[in-house]
Amino acid sequence: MLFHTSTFFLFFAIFIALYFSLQRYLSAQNLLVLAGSYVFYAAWDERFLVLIMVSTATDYIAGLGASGRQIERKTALKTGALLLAGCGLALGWTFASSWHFFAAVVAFTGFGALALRMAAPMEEKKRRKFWMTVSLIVNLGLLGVFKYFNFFADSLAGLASAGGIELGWTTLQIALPVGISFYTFQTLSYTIDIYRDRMKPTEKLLELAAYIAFFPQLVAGPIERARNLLPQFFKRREITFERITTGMALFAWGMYKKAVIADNLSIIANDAFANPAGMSSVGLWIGLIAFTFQIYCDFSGYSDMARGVARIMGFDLMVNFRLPYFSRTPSEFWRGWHISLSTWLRDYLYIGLGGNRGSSLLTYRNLLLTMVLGGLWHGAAWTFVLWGFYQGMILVLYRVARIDDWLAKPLSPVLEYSRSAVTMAFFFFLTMIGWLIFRANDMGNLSIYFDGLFALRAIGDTGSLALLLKMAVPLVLVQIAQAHYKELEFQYNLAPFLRYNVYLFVLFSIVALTYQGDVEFIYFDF
Amino acid sequence: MIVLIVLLSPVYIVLFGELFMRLFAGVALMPRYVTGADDGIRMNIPNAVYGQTSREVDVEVRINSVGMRADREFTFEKPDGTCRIAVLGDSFFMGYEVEIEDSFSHLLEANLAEQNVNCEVLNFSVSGFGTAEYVVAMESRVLPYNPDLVIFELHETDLSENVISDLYRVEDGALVKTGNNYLPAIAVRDKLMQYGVYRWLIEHSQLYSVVREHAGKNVKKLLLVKNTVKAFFNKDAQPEQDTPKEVDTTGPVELLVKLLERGRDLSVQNGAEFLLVDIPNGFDPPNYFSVLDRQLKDSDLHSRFNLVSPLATFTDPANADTLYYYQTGHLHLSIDGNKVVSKVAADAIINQKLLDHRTTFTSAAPTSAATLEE
Repeated sequence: MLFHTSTFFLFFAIFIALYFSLQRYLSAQNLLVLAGSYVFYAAWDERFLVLIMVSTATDYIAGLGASGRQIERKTALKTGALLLAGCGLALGWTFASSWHFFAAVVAFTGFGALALRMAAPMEEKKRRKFWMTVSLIVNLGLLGVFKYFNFFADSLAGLASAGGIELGWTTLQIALPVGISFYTFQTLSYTIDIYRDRMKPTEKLLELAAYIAFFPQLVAGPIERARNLLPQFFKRREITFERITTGMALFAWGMYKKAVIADNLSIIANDAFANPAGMSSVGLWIGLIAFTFQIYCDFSGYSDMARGVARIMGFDLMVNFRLPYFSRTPSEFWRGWHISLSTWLRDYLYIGLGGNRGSSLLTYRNLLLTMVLGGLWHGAAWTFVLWGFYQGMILVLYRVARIDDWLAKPLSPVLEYSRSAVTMAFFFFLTMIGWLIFRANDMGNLSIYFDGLFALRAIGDTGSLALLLKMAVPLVLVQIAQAHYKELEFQYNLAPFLRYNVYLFVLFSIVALTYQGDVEFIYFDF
Repeated sequence: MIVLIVLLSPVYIVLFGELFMRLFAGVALMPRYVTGADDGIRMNIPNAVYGQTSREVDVEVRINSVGMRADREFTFEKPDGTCRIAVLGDSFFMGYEVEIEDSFSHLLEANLAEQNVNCEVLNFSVSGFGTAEYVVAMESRVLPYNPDLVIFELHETDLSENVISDLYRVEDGALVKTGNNYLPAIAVRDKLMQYGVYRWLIEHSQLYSVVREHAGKNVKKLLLVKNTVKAFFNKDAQPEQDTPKEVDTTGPVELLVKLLERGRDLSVQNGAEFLLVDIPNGFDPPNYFSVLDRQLKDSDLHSRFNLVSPLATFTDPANADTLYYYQTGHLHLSIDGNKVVSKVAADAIINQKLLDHRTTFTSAAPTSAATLEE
């Protein structure tokens, strides 16, 4: 169920009517959020709801355990029973074909009981660590099996084959559950934060389940920390006319970025990446610029829509993108691109590895490792690993050259603008090369595309330039305004007449220029 | 002041929208001049003349006095020494976005004339039709003209159109007429068409065109959901039947196959041959695809029907630069697309001897092929 489809609008119309009618009953409203989120996810594949439920049950118990509490028998039994009942309900009508999922959950519940028995006699410190480890194993295990198993199995078989050893195994036919990278990271952060004494665990399974499955951000983020989102389930949400209208405006802007800009530009990018050998260098540059705008609009558009929907419901989600293409350095870029992931990686991986507390060499190692794993988070392919390494290398090189320090030194206004323009343009170029690695179908495709970019092959394939400009120019103008007003929702600073014209432009663009083919959100695959 | 703003706002929005469409969208104007007919389905408004424009085309559509897209009239009686082919399709076969001389039916006539076969091709197509409407139109509109060959268009949209129209259902493995009419928004349209302002709007307003297309698509989606749910519950209410193994029994596919069989049987019973012409999907050139290779891949239509498809020509790498569908209108066949479809249909008619059951049509000399050459 994509946000910009009539199916979602129908779903949301029914949902929000019920939601508003339950405004006085917080628990019932939370239950509705949970049920709606499960329905929303089941629209893709109800079997994979089981994974969300397993993750939820695990982190509910692990969260309590990681805080140092002994898990009561009643709590464990209730959680196990709800897990089995929830899975039974989700798999109910397809039980004949999906019974093995249920069998796996039964086995999992058995392992859970074993873990409880093992943890009970442990001393508190050890027990806390034990439950955090359980959360890590289960969540990263789900991610490993469903996202990375085939990648590593294939890679190992390829490596062995190069060494003359034929490994006879076959890879598993596993579909990638939508959004698994997002919700597993979200649940992990909950337990880790409790383990680090940064928050208290909740005893309310319903609210925790609703937080983990919260449909506006379930399948493509932002990866919300429990510290920010979970407390919002425990107080009555404020629903005002202003929140509804600004939420709708945010949703519309996100939809414009996704359905109009990203989807239309995907035609240009797909053509270029499908046959880079047959295109001129100019055509390849146009294709790469198109992808650079496409991926930004696709992902930030989804985040805006998620924030808009959540705001209508009375929730506040974090800002996930803050003008990343106006960055002068990689550190500025990562403060503006997929902020929820980059801060997650910073807090739970980079700092965990030691951050910048050690020698320079250790800091560089930590940066590289964090970015390589961040690359792998995006997808199970060597191009993503290479992209992560490339981003890590840029971070290290800028750090070695102390570019951030140099940029912090004040200059006269003219020189300051010139310096910003040059550094911004250069870093935009580096970002585009990064997207080339990211988007390439495989290493061969990357190599051909890269060669073609700089081969100065005949000028041609410029037919799509008009479409590129038509899509990119309004976005750039809006971003300049956002930078000027230092506010993403800058429109409230405009005179009413101008503001309504902006709204009309966005609305009519959505109505008339929405791409008619099927293009999923790029980040659904992550 | 506030009252003035409230009153003027809708006017301003409409003007802004129209200007936006013209400056940024370049929306195609594809008005449909259809009305309801006595047989409970749509027909082209008799004697209508209207334009269709997009960034690629500017054409005129003329309808004759009985609702065929034709620049002449036909009598029920066939002229001596001339065979008759009836064509039933939607906007593809009706020749949307091309002049009548470049439409499938005209080019087919010219192609056959080139091969010394004197035939007149009667085009009964109506934009938006599906197979169910072809079958209804066969009985009420086509058979009185005593055709020697009936051609049905086959397109991916037929699968949903047949469910949406709900004119026929499959019950107990048999095709059953529901007795329903299918005249979507015709009453409103008929009323509005009485006003010159509305007629001007549908031919000139890009904003109106966009709004109408969106509304139409969404209404169709709702109808599809409604009828699918209805069919689902009807199916549950019926006892299980033994269905032939070779037939795909998923609802829309089974319905489509049964309707095609009905069309073929009606043709044969009335002494006519039957030909099915596949129109591939042209949304993403050159990645054309046919419903035959997707939803209908298990239905084995090739062994059950005389069936031709231009897909091989469309997807031939040698033709990669040829534009078979216009991309800025409503994705209809271009002149080149129509030429290929009519050629494969004409070749099939000759090679499969579909007109040989009546052998008196061959003329001594070929008639003018000027149309084709144009």
